[in-house]
Amino acid sequence: MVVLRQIKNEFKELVVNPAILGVIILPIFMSKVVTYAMKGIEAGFLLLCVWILFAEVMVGIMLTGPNLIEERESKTFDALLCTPLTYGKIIVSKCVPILICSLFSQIMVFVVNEGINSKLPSLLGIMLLGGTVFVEIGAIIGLLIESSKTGSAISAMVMVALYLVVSVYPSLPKWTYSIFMILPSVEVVEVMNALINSQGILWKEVGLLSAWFVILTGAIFFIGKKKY
Amino acid sequence: MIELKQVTKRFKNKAVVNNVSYSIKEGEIFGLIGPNGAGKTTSIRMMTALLEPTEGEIYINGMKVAKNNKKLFEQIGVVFELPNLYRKSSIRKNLKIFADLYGVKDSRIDEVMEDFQLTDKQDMRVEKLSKGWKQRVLIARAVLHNPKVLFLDEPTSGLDPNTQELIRRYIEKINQNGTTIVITTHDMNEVERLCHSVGFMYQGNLAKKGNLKEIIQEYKEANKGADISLANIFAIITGGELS
Ligand SMILES: Nc1ncnc2c1ncn2[C@@H]1O[C@H](COP(=O)(O)OP(=O)(O)OP(=O)(O)O)[C@@H](O)[C@H]1O
Ligand SMILES: [Mg+2]
Repeated sequence: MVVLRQIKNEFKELVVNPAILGVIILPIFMSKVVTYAMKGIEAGFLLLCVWILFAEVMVGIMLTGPNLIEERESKTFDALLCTPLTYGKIIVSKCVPILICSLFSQIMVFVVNEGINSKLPSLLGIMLLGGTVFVEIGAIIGLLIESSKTGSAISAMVMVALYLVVSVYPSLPKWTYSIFMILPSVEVVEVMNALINSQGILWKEVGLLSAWFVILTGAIFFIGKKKY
Repeated sequence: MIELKQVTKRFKNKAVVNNVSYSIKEGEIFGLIGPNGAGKTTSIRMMTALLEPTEGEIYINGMKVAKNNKKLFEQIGVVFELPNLYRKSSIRKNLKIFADLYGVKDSRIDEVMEDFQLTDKQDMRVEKLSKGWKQRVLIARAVLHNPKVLFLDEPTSGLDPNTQELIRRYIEKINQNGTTIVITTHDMNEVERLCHSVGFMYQGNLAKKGNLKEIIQEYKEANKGADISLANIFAIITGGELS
């Protein structure tokens, strides 16, 4: 109950902030503009997946990391810890609203480009799993970095690196894929692309992404045990 | 009410609180005093489960102080040394967030705002407030849920005399209503006025503890009946000369 109330509070806090709304809407808007401009060029679906990934990475990392650092820097985190909220609940109440925003942004990227069609439901699972993983990456940055300045820089670096890598690996020799597929962003794009092209589920990639989810969740709890 | 049993906190092998034991009775105002760096804030952080003792245990109301003890946090309130409020949010919003966490009604928010004369300012952003007004919000936030024990870390330091007086009267009021209070301060007059018993900390050790009047009496007798104040005792304990 307490968590639900806090999730509601955090969510309200997010959606009244114009800069944060900008982060959520930017991928939707950009995807439409760029895909329109690049019409006629092949690999249309891959491009769509890359934009969904963009929404996932941007919202997940850029909103979670700095948000948590601010809470820790201002020591309001300590004040929350002295209420019936526990560390785990504080993290959940920070991450869930951002995850909702991430899903909204991802779904909207699909809808503005493809409309609402039967492929959308099949993508929801991977959108959720991928979205969660990137929110968790943001949360870990938010828990480890001490200052807002450094935190924003590192969030941006991680975000850009994870995102840009997906435009690099397709043009490299095939054998390198077995290395790149370790990265969550590559997994997300590959799984989505296969789903959209009706090639079924890429279990190996889904498995690796699930492994990321488990490892990152463990890491968040470990940090909590050490620091809070 | 509160019991510390052989509590030690070390940071990198340096004992900041060193094998300290004492108990605080229900309904009393306990003053934790000592020079800068003595370990007062560290002690309070351990009593509120923000820090885990390296050794020893702390009990509040029979419950072991631990991070996941939800019941404990329903019974304690904490006024932090620094004003850790949501700077960009209004006074009311700051209180509302915490009221929700304790399941406290809006009417109680109005009540504490009234107590601290915050009602007219409730929509102001915290970042625009002066130190004294931030401090009022900080205390209001800590008492929203009528805690059984209230911890106050230097609640009056750096405030004007009127605000100090408002805060002291409020502390007296809720203490009379049964709230146990743990307060740290550098103002010895404040201790003499408010506290029933005290613990003197010096370099991480508990140099002296007990009933305030008895401690003063004891030093008086040791100094052949000289008129001795708490500030004098502070100086003696910390190695200064009695002036
Ligand atoms: N996280 C920490 N890591 C290392 N040392 C610390 C940490 N927190 C506090 N200390 C050290 O512990 C000692 C006691 O600090 P504490 O804040 O408890 O003192 P205090 O009695 O509250 O002092 P003040 O009156 O100045 O508020 C200080 O020497 C401080 O440097
Ligand atoms: Mg202190």
